[in-house]
Amino acid sequence: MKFGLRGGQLKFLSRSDVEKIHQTSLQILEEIGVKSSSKMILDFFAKSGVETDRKSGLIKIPEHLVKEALKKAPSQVTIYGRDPKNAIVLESGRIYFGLGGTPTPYILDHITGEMRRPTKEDVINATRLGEYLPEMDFIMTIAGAFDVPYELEYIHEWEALLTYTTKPIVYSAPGLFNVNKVIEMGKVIKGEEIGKEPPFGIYVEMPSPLMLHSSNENIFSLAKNSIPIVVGQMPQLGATAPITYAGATALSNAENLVALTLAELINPGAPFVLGSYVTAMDMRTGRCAYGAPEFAMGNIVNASLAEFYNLPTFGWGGCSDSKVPDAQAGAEVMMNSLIAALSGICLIHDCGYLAGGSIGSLEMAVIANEIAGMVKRIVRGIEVDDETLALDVIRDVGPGGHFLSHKHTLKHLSTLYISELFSRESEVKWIKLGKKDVRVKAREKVNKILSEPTVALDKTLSEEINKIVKKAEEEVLKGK
Amino acid sequence: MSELVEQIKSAILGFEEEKLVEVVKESLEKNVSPLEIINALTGALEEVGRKFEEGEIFLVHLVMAGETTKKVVSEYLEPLLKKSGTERKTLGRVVIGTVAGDIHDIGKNIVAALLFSAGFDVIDLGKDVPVEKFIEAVKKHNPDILGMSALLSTTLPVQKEVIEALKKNNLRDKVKVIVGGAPVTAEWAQQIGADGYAEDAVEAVRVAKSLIQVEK
Repeated sequence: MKFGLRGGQLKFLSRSDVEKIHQTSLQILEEIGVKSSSKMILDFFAKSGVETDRKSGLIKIPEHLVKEALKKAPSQVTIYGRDPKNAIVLESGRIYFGLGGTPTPYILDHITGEMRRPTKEDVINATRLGEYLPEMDFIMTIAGAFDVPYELEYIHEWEALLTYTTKPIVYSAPGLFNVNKVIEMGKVIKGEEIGKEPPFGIYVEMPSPLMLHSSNENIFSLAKNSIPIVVGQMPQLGATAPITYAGATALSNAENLVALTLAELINPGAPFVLGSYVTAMDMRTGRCAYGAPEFAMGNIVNASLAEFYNLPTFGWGGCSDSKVPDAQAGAEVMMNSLIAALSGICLIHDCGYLAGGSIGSLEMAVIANEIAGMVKRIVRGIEVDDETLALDVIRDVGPGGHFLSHKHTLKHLSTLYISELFSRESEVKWIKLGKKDVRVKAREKVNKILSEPTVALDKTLSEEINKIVKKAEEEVLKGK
Repeated sequence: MSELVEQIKSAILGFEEEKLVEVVKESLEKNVSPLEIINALTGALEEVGRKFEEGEIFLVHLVMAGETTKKVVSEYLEPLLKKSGTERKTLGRVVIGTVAGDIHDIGKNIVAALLFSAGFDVIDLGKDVPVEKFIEAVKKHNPDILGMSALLSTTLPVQKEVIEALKKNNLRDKVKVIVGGAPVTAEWAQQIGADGYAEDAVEAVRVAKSLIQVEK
């Protein structure tokens, strides 16, 4: 079980700023409300005594219900993965990095260097890469299964994830059909009491502004089974949210609080991870700009709200708008990874995303892993005590000596971040080694990792999971 | 007349909705014909489009100018045109929507605003639009172009289903089909038998115009 480093050194908002945003979120929910086209969601809120308008689908949630729900949500959530030794304990401030996000429509083929449609095989390779990369604490994806019937895309991606990693998984399973199949698959690994040791958390996103879609009905199954609900709201400044950061965050946070209230009404104590995040629309192209400074800043505000609520968080880092792993990608990835970690975001996902999440890149994931290592080193900070002040060691060595052979140096060697990928050798050596830039080295590392043996799931269990996939296929395709 | 054009331009390029409404009302009082006012608006929107392409202004300006103009045209000018039995001359009619299962419509809204600004008559079906609703709309509005948006890889195939349904209903040769959205590619458009594909909103206008010109 891992207890991640504590971030949270970076703060922009005062306590009273956070309270104002929280209060605005409550007002949004009580006075403006959210809209839903889902009968299941409307029925449930109505039954719970919430004012719902069947005709317009408007749901107005009173302040007291939200506050009660906030009290019920646990401050500590653990996602175990297949192997509990990889489990990550999430609580406000503890940081973890994750490979990728939801499926990408393209992959940057690391062999040909060309962008193309990804396949299930790519999802498997991405998962194997994530399993191997030491700084990736949880696994999403940087590909997508475009070679299976589209209605079953998520089911196949889940099969790849559950089969090829032992680490905690966070991934989408929109709608009841998907989520119930995924929970069934999870039970193959963890048994009926899956909520006691959930191998995964499920990513939930509501359309902004202020909507609940039928795909969000998966909250019911998740809450009932005590599987962590990991919210990632993405309202865009000036497009699907006010252009001013405070208002956009209040909106995003209101959307989170709806999901939280729903989950805690369904099952008090349901594990919930807050993603009161704000993103930026590029005003020249209309694209969601993952490399924008405003995008990175969403982490700071989200972390402050989560600290206020004492909840774990989901946020963004390791992603870029560049189309290849280049200088732009390096700059953006370092910026958003460092900001996310210093904010104290628990689940920092999207490592290896290029083109604002449209392209997945295995090479970029390897580079992001290196950056995550550097970031974790910085977050670890500086310890000051007798041992680290090392007065006796300085006395031992004395003026004009050296510390290289002192046992104190050897003892604390692991406190230095020693880069594996980034070039630090002499320029002459660099030429001798073939003048490789970091992308070339990352590509070599991808090839090496993919030639290693897999940690594939026990055959009997993977056959069980495959049976669920096959059955889902039959159920979906028989109606066609 | 040139003074009016200048006033309209200044209101649109200054992104002042109230002022635009005021200028339009005043012009109508002075007996300027609605068609003349629409021409002036179109001229101003062309300039907005040019400025955007040259990087002088941003998407927010473009959408704001388009939506404000659309409001003025539909609230103040079209009712008068209808009364007098004349019609606004447009480049053509576009029915547009985000396909079933997909509730992402900000991109589609931008395309709709730009198409309107470029001189198209735009009928927006909204988001999460079922296949049948697209078919009904094509039957009812008889558009020159049908535009479909999808953001998710899982909703992308619905674009294909709509094209198949158009064929089944013998409507396919009556309308040009454009597809767009993050996971859409030129190959995909070709594979499903769409007539056009655009990777962004500005390109969508270009493609729409070229498809119409092929028609006429």
